[in-house]
Amino acid sequence: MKTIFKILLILVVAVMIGGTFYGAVTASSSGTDGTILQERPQPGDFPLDGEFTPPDREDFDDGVQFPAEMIKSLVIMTVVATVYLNITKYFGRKKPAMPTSL
Amino acid sequence: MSKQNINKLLLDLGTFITLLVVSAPRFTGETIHEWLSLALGGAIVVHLLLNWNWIVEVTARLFTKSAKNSRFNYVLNWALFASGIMIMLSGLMISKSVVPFFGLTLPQNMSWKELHEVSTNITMILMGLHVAQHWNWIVSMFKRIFTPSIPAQTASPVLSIQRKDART
Repeated sequence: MKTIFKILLILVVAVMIGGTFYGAVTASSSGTDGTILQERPQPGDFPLDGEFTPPDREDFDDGVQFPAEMIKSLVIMTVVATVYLNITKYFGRKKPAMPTSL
Repeated sequence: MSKQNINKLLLDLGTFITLLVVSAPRFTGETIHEWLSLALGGAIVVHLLLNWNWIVEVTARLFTKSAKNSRFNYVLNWALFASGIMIMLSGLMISKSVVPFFGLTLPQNMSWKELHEVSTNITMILMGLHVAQHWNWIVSMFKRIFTPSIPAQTASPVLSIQRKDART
């Protein structure tokens, strides 16, 4: 029962944050440059082997590709973690030692 | 080493690897990318449940002097949670497998795709900081697993409020 309550609490907070984001995005994008498509494109809307490929589908259907994005993510995390650890280590070392006795 | 610590480590390791796999949709294909991301959301909920005591303790003592060191970690975790939600939300808004599977149709806005990419990059940066914050714990846990005969060294606490489960 406690666990269900915790899960519900997490979901409620997530929905609140998500709702805020959704409101902010829709409010900022509505009536600006007409980029909103009212209908999601359906599979039949585009010819399968025709001359047009939807821009956001172009690379996903070409089979398994080299996981460059995975390596990019790993590099970002490694660099950030290394920089952070070195900075905290450096400032930790720079702290003046507290006198143990007078 | 407690069973809960092993569970935590395994879950965190699995979540981390899944995050890396999910961050490469061209590698996995779009369908796997979307469903695996949804599963990752579930893993994050379990991660939060396993660390619930810490969340409650720090929330209760956030503005006291004793929680000074854990404040940055607390804010970082909230930022990570918010950016994760942004990824999920923007991902659902541009979904081509999960949302249609449930028979739903959402109005498509091209800015969601950009937000999906931006929030992914932000999350990777925050995740790097999150891992760095818990680096001592991670190293300590792996040392205990691979050299069980050596007496366990207490990981230097990242937080002023030490995790109850950090000890065996």
